[in-house]
Amino acid sequence: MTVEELVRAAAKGDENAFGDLVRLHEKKVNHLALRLCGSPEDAADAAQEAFLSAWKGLPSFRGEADFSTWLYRLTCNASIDVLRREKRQRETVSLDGPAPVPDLPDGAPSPQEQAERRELRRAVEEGLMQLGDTHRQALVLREMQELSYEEIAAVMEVDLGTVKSRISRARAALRKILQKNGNLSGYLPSKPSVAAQKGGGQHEEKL
Amino acid sequence: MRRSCEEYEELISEFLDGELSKEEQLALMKHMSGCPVCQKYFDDLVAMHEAMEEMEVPAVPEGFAERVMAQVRETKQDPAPKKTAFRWKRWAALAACCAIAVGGLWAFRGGRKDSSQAAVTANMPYAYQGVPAGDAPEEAGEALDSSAGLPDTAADGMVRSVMREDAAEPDAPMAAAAPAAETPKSTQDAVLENSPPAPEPAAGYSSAKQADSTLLEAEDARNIALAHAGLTAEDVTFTATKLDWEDGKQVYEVEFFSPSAQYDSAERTEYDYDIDAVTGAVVKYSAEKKDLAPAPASTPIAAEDARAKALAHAGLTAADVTFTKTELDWENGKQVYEVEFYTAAGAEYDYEIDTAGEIVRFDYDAESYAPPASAGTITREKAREIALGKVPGASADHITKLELDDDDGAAVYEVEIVYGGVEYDLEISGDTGAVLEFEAEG
Repeated sequence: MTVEELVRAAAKGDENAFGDLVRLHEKKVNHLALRLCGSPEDAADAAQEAFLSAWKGLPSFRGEADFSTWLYRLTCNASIDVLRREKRQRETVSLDGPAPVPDLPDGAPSPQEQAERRELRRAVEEGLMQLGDTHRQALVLREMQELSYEEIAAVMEVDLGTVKSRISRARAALRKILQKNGNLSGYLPSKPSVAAQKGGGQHEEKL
Repeated sequence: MRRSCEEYEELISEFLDGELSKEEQLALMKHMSGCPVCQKYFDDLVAMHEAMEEMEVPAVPEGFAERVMAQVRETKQDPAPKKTAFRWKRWAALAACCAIAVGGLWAFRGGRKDSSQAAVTANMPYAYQGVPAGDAPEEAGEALDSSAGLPDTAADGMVRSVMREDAAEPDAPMAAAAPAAETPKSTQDAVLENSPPAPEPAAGYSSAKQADSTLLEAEDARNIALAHAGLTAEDVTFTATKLDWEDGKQVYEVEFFSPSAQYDSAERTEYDYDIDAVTGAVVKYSAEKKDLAPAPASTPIAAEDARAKALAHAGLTAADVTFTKTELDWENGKQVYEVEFYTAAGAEYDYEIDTAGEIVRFDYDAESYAPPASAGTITREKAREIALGKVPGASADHITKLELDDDDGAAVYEVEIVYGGVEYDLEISGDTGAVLEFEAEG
């Protein structure tokens, strides 16, 4: 069965078809929820809620959007709900940080470089959680889910220009957070540029 | 063109996503070579981008699907919406009939983009709709190679799909749609706290705990707003329809102006509605009359003129080229013609020309255009067979997707097979049947 056929069957109450849809999408939905919620526990809740919303809403899902686009939207909404509930439950800021970032077994960067990269990943994870909801959503959909601007526009139900600016602003805000915590200076040494050598601080250029 | 560093920051962000045109990339490189501030910004963003790329895709929690399915078995689905649930539906139907009667079905589908394009197509018999916009995947990479002074790390991973779309003014579609020097004449703002004991928003669009009811379609919301304003779809140009939360309720924000963009008018009225997405009630609306001070002095040029402009700029004649697209589109709140054509030698041209006849942007690619493959070399059946041959044990039942796609002019079958818990993605050439890509994800 194609995804479309599964969707049609599930909309008519076929639980097995829906089970297939869950297994087809659980990885992406869980990943998205984790990056939006920050903690594995919240993410599992949000992912579960998203699928349950999908099950309940399927009879009125008319296939105008792609099923996965719709599912991402439900995941975004469920993540926001979970975060809000969490916030209400304990007004204090959590002291246990986000999930530990596993080491990557790749290549052979120096131990120091590895440590720096690890630290930056951890800082980015933390920083993401400090962004506003729409900024975090846009950036995570782009960077982690690798959706195109058009797909993100469909998920978030905004126009392309808004997607573009949300992603750009999210990056600017994230950078500011990382800079404040000293996570960026010296990570990638800025190449000496012509203007810098001249000592010129010209921050605008005529084209 | 002079840009501020802030604008370059947005370009840098788009560059990372592979969304910049070659021209913009060159402008960005040129600027960065002389601007250490932007270069540092670029370096930082690359570092962040890499950090996010390196993050692991987490394993799905043990027993996740089982838990979901256990819950599903105990949960009833929300019933599909009934057609005649609300009284306003009759209004909507009436408005729809009117619109169809005058041949203006266009405004009902989607936002401003759709409507403007379709409107043009109607009075532009030569419109080419053949090739989807912006299929030029390799472009970003090429420009990178030719530009010095970039960190090498930028080259890998970040060049994805290239899609041409100008940097639009964010979050202000209305403001953008009515250009320059407008003076509010009269503002009528009405806020109706129209809240009957509204049922909860539908689960379909929100969280699981919400109750049994469904949301209106965006189209319904537009029709309600139109009926309320006493207008038909023919009269207006929609600039936005989006679903949003307002005071804990889901509402459609519907924005449009009248008279529609196809008329040359010195003034227009901008409407702004919030429609309760569940009940269809008008929660809030405003209408504002605006002068469009320097309305486009000249009459907008026609599609043929736009093509002629592009040809003149390229130094070619109509006999030299094959047009693949001429479309009126919205860009930064302005209407522009997107004109695309290629020459026999395979050079691809891509123009954006505003309605005053100015070339807003162009793109030239010497070799990337391959004319669409002659259909039928490899049939769907054959593609299916080839794909299944790559996944031993899988049968036609395991194919979840089989689509013929136009990949930069070449016909490519995209096939997805889910078998034994593994998702296989294949790309098969529509010309030769060669497997271009084969990917498996457990």
